[in-house]
Amino acid sequence: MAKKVRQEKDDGKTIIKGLGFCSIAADSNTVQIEIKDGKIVRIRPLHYDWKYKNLKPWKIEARGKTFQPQMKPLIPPYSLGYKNRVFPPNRVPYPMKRVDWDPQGERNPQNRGTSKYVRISWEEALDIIVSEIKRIKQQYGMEAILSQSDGHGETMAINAAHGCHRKLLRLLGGYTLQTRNTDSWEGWYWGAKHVWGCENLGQMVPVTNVISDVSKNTDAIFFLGLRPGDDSLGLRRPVGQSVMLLVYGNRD
Amino acid sequence: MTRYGMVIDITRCNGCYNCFIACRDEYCGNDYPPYSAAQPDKGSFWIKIIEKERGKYPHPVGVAYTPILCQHCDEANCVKAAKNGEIYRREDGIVIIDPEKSKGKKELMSACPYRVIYWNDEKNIPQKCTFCAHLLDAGWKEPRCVEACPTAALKFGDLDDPNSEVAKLVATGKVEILHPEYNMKEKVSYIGLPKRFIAGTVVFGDTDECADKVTVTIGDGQEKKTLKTNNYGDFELDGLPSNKEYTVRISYTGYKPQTFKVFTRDDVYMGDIFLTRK
Repeated sequence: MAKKVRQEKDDGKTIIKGLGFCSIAADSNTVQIEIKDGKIVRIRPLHYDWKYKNLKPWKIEARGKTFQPQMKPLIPPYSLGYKNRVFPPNRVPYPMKRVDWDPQGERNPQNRGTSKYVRISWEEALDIIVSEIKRIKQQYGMEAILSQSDGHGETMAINAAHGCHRKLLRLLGGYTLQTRNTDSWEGWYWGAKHVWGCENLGQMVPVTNVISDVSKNTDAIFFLGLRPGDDSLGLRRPVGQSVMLLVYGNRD
Repeated sequence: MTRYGMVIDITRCNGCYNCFIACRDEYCGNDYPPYSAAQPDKGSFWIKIIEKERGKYPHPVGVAYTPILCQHCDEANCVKAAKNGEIYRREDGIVIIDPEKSKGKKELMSACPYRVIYWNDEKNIPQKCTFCAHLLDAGWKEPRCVEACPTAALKFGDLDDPNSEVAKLVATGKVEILHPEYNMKEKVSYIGLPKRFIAGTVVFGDTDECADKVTVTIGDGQEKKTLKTNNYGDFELDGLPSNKEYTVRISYTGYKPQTFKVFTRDDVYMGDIFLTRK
């Protein structure tokens, strides 16, 4: 199989990339992106066992069954369909500005939303951004700049990499933060705790309720305040179907 | 000889739609001559998922997801209907609609009772699942939908190889054909297709307590099945055929027995049944 894949690569190019969006590690959901003639042909899960033959995956025997992971990441639908996000008809792939907008002269604010746009170069776009930041800073102060950078952007790994522009604005003297969503943080905080068995905020206190214990020694799991479809700890996968899941206090 | 087939385990399917999205990723904007032309952006469901809600509140409500794709029948109606070779069967059993020869042949769509042939308005051709024949030719072991399935509900392989997973599953006798009445020798089979259930909750009317260990007899005139309620007073008998009349008899020492007639047009939840003292 591996040989065939290499042959296939010869008339195209294959990139291996993490396509995780909101995850503990930025390189989760590893995919193979096959590219031909400058176009994405397909996005598929990376098969670990094509290159590495001696992998020894975990194995749990419980309730008369053997549980073992698949030798590929389980790609979520959003990552699998990512091609549509790279080439959607409504994506703006280059900078544009309003035809009747001259940052140095007549700005015509009354035509916002009605006048059309014209393509400009990246150099021109960067020059406009620099001059506008300088102008606003001199005229009104840095707080007049609204920055949409909510979420965990400061980690530059989770919730997209908007940490960069936030840091730049902070170095320039500040900004006004626009917060659109209150973030869910239990996904990575509580999830990580139950995967690795310790708090991830420095205390490093060992806990016992980790997924492997639960998978081996459980007959039923009682969820409090969850949707029946929720699986925030990824428990359904290792425990399989022989465990009864009881859900109380449905959030919907 | 290789004879490709698929087994779909519905008890493992959680309805994530990865199979469908992987199929779109493979075929939208990609031509694979001579097997297929690009799928249109909208309106085609080469692998579609039928969602069936089962049960009714307060009985536990579940959804059965049944993925339906071309069944690649050995005696396919569509191949018979295509008089000029527009639809043909490869040596490995995969049924292919020729994208060149089938131009303008809209009538071929209705040859399939499973309704898995879709019309491509843009290209004026009928289209359907090819089991990713172009990938199998390139050495792949499975089509895109099977590779993308996170719960391994979709299984693919050679039905003629007794050591393949699909052949072993078929040999267990647990698999079913979606519509055996079509008699087309389908090469896609299913485990755990949703049937009908009869369920109810029994309450002791005098004490208003859940009626534990009550005898429930469900019969269709010839066969009878007896079960007991659990400590919530619930009973459920699954796996019944549809559109059949059943007699449900509920009895417990010291209480008046009750008899109901139910019809399995859909899953039947009889609600709360109150027993009264003799």
